[in-house]
Amino acid sequence: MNIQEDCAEKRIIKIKLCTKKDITPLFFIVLQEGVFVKTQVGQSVRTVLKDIFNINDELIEKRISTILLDGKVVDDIDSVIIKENSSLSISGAMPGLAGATMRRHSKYETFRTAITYIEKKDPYPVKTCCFAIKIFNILLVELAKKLLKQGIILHAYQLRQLFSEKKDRLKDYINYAYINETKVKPSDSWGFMEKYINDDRYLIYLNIKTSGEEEDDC
Amino acid sequence: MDKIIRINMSKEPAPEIKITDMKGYEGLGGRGLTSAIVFKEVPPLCHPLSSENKLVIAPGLLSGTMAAMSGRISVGYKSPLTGGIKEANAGGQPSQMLARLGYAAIVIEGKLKGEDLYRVFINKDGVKIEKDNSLKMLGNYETVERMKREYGQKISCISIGPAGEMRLAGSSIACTNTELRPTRHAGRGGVGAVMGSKGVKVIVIDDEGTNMREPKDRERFRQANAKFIEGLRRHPVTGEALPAYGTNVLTNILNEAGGYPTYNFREGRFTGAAKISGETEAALETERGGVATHGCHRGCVIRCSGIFHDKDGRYLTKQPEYETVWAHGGNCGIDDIDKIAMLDFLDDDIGLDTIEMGVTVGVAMEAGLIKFGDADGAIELIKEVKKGTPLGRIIGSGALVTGRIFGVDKVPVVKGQALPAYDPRAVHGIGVTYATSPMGADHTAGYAVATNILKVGGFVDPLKPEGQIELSRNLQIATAAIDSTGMCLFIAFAVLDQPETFEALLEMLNAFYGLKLTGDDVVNLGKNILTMERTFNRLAGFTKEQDRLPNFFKKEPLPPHNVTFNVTNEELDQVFNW
Repeated sequence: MNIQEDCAEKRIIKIKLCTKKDITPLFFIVLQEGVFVKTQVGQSVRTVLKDIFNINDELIEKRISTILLDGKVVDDIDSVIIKENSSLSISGAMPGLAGATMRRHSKYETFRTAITYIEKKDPYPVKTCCFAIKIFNILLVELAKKLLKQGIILHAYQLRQLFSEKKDRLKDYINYAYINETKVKPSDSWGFMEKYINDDRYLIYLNIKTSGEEEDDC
Repeated sequence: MDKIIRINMSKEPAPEIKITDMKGYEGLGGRGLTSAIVFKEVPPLCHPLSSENKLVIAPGLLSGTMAAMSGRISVGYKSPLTGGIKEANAGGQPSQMLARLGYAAIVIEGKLKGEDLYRVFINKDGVKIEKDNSLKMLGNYETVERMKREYGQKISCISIGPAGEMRLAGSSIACTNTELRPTRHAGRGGVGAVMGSKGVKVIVIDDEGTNMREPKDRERFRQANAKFIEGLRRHPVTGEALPAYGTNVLTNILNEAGGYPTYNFREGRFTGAAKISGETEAALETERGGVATHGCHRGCVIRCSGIFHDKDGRYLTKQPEYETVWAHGGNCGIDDIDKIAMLDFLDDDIGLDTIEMGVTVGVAMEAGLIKFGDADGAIELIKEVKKGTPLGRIIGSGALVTGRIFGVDKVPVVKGQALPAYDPRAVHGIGVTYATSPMGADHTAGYAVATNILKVGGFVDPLKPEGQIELSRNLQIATAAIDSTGMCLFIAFAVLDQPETFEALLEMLNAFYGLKLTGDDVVNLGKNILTMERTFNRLAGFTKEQDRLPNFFKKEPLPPHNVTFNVTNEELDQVFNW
């Protein structure tokens, strides 16, 4: 499966869930494993973070203390660029010497020079495509809901695995589902969803909103 | 806290107890005291299980006071695992109780003739030692249950399991937590084997009728403690991440950075990491009615521990720590948190160091004894230790012995002790500490204390490649000093970033003892401790050749970043040049 080809709408099934209560914690496991987001890459880490989470500089500085791009520690979030197929991980403050070492501009950054991200000087075009994101630590509580509201893309198998473990709880919480922008009754929603999540050809664009907290369409 | 309990197990017809003063050891506590006693009183060339070795158990300088986080207890000895001097420390209740009773240390010396087993009881009326062979080969949990039945619920216990009685080099000493469960362990170096060699199964401490230790300047101490607590609560690590997820919150980030040793240090990433992460573990604990935020001793304000329930909602073990989850988890290719929790329980009950056991099982997997990922096989291997079978005794003796017996050439140890959960090929600076610490591979030897605040060794330029040598040196010095206070090392995160929190810690020491300690004095304390430890090791036969990582870290690139450990031997030899 080529993630960029599939991200270009070919095999994306759009599922929007309107839920009676906040079900974000059920998605913490897949957010740790990694999901995709579609946005303009070729921009700095800071710009992309602001775009996809709709957050300001203060929150980035105070709360997102550790950032890894393609498994390497990012110090300067203004010069490092997110690219097509990048994998970005973000975390709040981490314990231990290792945790302190992984922080941006850590006093101990010489401890991890082997895994510090060095940006190449080559120019990189701005374009819309998918990249992977992982969220760890206290940021799951603080940012996951914002990301789910913006929408994430994940493999059908990821959602299948999640639903198989949490189905009963999830069922009770759904008000409405929209599948490919068609509203589906709660009683029918599982049948429709299962059709797609059981087929590994698909990527699922998942968008979750909570009734009473979001727009009128929920 | 001006008395030392000395128990001579060689005396006949019964062990002899003496209470002595602090002469020669005034002003010392925790690791400072344990290392000083071992350095002065234990012949460096003695056999660690002989009558000449001593087991020294010491609360920290601030233990038993109102100071938050002051519940660590240090245990010093010559190690049967490394052959050098050793300090292992633990949380739990014994440190506070022993300090309130006025004891700066318990020194167990000599050796029994025969195979009898003893228990020691300490309260405000004195110290008693009694033969109790009914405790033989009991697990730590059952031992503590029996002590509760006999002495009540308001005690704390320091005990060994069957591994310590069998004098295995991977054995630990258990300390009870606030619920009187034997879950906090002085784990490293085979400390349980030394207690077992002395014939002591359990030390029961009852502090009823005692009060908090009184500072010289009560008001100044109270204010400094309040400032210290405020600093811990304000810091995002000690105030948020650790209480919410515990130390295991490190799993995801180390894994993502490619520094999470997987399949016996073959790879730096584990595909099942998210299933065993601190975030996942905490959610599961809450869902099952356990506790995700819990202190291991009274006066802990970070509360990084937790209580883990099984699938049926029954207590299984405390929240497995990052090192445990890594050692038994990713290192062995196991991604089932329930199985890892079971391994944690077995280690605690049998009295085994979880890091040593996880790495040993990884080496056994490397040897083909069982397959990577075989969680049930790993559980059976640990159960073999309790049974005392030949295989169990091999496993319980640690990674080095297991590697030798099964012909494995890839054994991740330094000075005979298993490496913890950070691959030194990805994080070179931690590798410097692993290689050079007098303790053997130890992640807490150079943990983190504000280098720039202490200004140890002058300013370190982070852009210079040699910065990691100086940093490792400074961190080891500072850590040795902190280990003397009885403070949990996790305070380091706040002290690291907030100079006023470090000042508050110094102020507490000064207000309590009526001193005028400065940062320089703390540095000198740390240097003195390390000098004693290094000297002991030198006299025990160590040379600079022991300050090295296994060669495969230099030769075998670690995926995914394909990095190797490239710090030279010449650089490593500079760490202790001060």
